Amino acid sequence: MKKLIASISLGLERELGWTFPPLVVLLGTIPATASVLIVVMIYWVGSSAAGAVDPSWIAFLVVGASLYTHFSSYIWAPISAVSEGKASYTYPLVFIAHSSLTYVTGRVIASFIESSFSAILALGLSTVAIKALLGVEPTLSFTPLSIALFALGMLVGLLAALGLGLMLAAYAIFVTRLEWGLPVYISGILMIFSEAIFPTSALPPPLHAIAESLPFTHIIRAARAALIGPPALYSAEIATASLLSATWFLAGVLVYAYSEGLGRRRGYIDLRVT
Amino acid sequence: MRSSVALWLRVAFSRAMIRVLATYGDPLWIVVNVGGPLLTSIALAFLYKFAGIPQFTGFAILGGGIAAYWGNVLWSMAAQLNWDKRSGMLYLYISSPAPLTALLVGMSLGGILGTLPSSLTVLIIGTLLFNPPFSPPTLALALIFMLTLLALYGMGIALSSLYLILGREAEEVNEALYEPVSFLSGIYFPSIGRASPLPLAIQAVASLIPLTIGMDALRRAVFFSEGVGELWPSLLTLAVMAQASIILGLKALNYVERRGRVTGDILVALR
Repeated sequence: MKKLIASISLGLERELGWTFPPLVVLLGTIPATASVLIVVMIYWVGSSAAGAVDPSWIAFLVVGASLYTHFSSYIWAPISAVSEGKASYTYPLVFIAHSSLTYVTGRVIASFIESSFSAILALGLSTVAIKALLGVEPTLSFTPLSIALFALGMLVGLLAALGLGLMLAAYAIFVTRLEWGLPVYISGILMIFSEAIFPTSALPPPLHAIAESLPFTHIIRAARAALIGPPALYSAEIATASLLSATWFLAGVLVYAYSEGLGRRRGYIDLRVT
Repeated sequence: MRSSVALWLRVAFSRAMIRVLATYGDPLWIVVNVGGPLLTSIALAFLYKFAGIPQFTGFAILGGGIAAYWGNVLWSMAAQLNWDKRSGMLYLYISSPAPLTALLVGMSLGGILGTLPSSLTVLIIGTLLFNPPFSPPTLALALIFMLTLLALYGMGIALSSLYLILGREAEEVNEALYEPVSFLSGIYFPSIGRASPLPLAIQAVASLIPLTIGMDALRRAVFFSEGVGELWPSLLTLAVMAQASIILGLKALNYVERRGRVTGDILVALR
């Protein structure tokens, strides 16, 4: 636990310590809000032209896009912990100290903390901006219970992102160049399949199965059930999300542990990223 | 005078060729660069379909094609000298007779040619998947495309001089700029004009970004078959913006370089 706390602290220093911390959160909130607004404007332009504007979908998009930007911003943390660490010789030192799994986990948690502030602020800011720009108020319910249920969804998301992140970190042990390419693809795939910006029913039928197997799809659905409703959907979605997230996390730990051992035996740990 | 012009041209050509050879000599670069704009444009095309207007999926596909360039301007132009500073390359540039302006213009030309495969891949795959109704290519389209890229890379040159004096913030500023400029400039939806959902005041601010004028004109040429006759105000505005951004960028770079050589802080790498 001491190692984990030290890694979180190091990660927070890396994420927030390079300048005035509220400025970091603001720099994260601005692009996240802009992303949400792009998605809402596309819906608005498209549905206006089709003569079928349904304001209830705006809330659907605000919640989904905010959570998507949250996930996509911190799934980078593990791969960057390994690749930046290899470039700066931090990672081989961490590896020698026998705590690389804890180190990577700590870095993800730190990034999650930073990204959570930005995501929550983006949710609020985009709601205000949409009302100002379009004159439509997304019907979101911000009660203590709905916020607590939303926060629980984010925590379950941390478990899933940690699993995915550990698999990406395992990949980063072996690659020495263009390691950032894979998270870009993962992030794009999540945008299509996680029901972040449109219902999975809009996808061709064989692709539904992919969407349903992703924990992020159920986390976003649970978050929508908490903030938009109906609340009855929440428990089923959060249970499915928890089960899938735990599976992903376990898979991530196993893949990472195996890759770390292989990396040690074959000497990949010292290979610098170019 | 003649030798300095020849040096400038040789430096610009060499820097452009490094970019071109790096991209075309290593297909993995294209695969890696195409992921973000391709998958984003596919997701947004699905959103247009879901919103009930499949004809507009082309907006998302065209946006993805141009987003590849916008990403290249930010990450491979604006931030490049800053990265060169951190990796020690800037020491070599400064101590050699190579003019920085030639390096940046060469980088821009190389960037335009090097990003072309990524941009085309987005357009081709997007078109195959969603079959949006594109008008046939015209002279107006070619002119708008070239002027938009000129203005965009002019912005890149201007930003690179700013980033030269930044430390790690350069990357954070890039991250913070990408989405808001994509939103205001309407890469994926019309942010100015009659179809724009934005208030007039915001449209006015957005119109100050060359990419906004370029995207609006590109959409009108590609999806509404407008020609030079209808698009000449946009062409004129883009030409002025392109010229202004390149001149401003080169002047800013000259100033930062001159000041940095005098004070010695141009090579200070802050982490």
